[in-house]
Amino acid sequence: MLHNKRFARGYVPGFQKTYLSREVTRAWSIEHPIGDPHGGPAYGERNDPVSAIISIGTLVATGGAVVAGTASLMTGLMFAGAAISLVGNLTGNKTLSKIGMITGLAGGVGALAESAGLFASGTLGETFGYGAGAATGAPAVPLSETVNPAAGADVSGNIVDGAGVVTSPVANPAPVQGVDLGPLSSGPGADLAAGAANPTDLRLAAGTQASPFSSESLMASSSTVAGAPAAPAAPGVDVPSVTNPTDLRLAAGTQTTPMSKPGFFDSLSAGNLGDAASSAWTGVKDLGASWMEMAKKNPAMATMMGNTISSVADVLSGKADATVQALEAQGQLSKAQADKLRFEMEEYKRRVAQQNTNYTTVANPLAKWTPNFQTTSTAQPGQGLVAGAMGR
Amino acid sequence: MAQGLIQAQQPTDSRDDITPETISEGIQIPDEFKQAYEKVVAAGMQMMFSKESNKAAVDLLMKGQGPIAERLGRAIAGLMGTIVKASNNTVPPQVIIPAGVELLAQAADFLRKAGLAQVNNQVIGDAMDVMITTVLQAAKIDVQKVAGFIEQKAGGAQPQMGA
Repeated sequence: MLHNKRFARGYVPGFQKTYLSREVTRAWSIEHPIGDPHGGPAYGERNDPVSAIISIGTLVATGGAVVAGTASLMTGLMFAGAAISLVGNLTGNKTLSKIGMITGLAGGVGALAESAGLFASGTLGETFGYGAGAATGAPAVPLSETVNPAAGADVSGNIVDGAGVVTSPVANPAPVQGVDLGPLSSGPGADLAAGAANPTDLRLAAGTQASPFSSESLMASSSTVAGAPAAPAAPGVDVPSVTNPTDLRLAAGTQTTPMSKPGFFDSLSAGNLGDAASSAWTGVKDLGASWMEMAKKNPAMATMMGNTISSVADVLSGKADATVQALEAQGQLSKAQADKLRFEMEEYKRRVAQQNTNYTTVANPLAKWTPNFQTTSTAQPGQGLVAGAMGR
Repeated sequence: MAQGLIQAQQPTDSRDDITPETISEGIQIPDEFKQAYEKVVAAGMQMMFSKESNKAAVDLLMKGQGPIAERLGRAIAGLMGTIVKASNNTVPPQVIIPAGVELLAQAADFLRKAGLAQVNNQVIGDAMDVMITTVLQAAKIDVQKVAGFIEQKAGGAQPQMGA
């Protein structure tokens, strides 16, 4: 994974800084971004996107950027990540804790999407619905392999492409898969220790397959597929004419078949939110049906649902902006909360009333005791305390 | 992975200090999605708590099968699905999960305060798990793989250089 800063803030002509992934950074034992001999922590530069600890606020901003490119359901996880993580940590729910960690990921969903896209032949890509592997029938790469190996290839490509760096001796581009990090860190050509004080002077091993890899091509291909994370951007993959991610075709004789139906992320990547949303909810028809069934049985509720949801639709489709302004979402929320409070109060009243009812009908033996004051006893001669005492 | 004996015997979190407020504080919605988010949450709350629908919603929730956490999680997922579907798929997918989390917290709080069910932290956690899993599964996303991948990526986290 590379983070090219050329198009980010602070672009200086002549410098094309390339930030390495954490794995590659460790493997190369360097801390500098490649392409800038005066950058890195030694020069007070702390904006390494890979190792930076990103606050939630920053993440949200990152999320906004990600959304602009590849809107996704997963981005929502990032927005709610802190809450999910909190609940996961409090309850010991490991799944929630892990999912919540997405807020702590450098790049957030972008990292996931990028990885899933760059290594689309991996199982994760298929899981996310990018499905290049699934589309081409290529063997799935284990998840662990989707993280590291290809990053090395990217690095080598950027070295070649970087300004003023040593050109790779390798002329023949090769697919990114198969390039291993090993030679980069310990191979004979990886001239890191001797005389390679400047990381821009990195030399690749003679046998290392380096592939020219420009960020421009990556970005171009990303934009070509409307925000898809450039899954097939590696050399050997022909993407210029790709306008639909379902129609990705591999070059070099690789046979591919179009996906029968675009997945959720495919639809999102293609900007077709409608298809994406409908695709997303194919699995919850039953659940949604229960609510709809409930509405059918309850006409008042159906009317309310219609009003409520249609207002949402109007808002989100931009059909009734004027109405939207009048409604004020926060006001609606407050009203709903008031409704909730009202119902809670009613529920409380009902419970109290029920308690009172139970109290009044409780089987209290004293309540049934009816003293008969009509029956009075008359002391007979010789009875009573005095008479009794006298008679003794 | 099989649960270990100790893990399996861990007591459930019977506290009930997870409130809608604490949940809301953890949800950070960018401005561009704020309006959509609030509208979706408002719509969901109206469907759950309005005079016309509350009884039916409670019945739907309370008369379902399985533990309350599962019923709650699936009901909220279904509610989100209903909103998305009924809004002609105009709800941005980015707000689905956050809105679901918020609505789940509100629903759990309601159940707890109304005394309709014993809702503690554990129930909320399990319900949230069910809800998120259901939503992601609907999008054909394996939540376990995602969680594993996130853990893998975050596992290599290291302190900021030079900080």
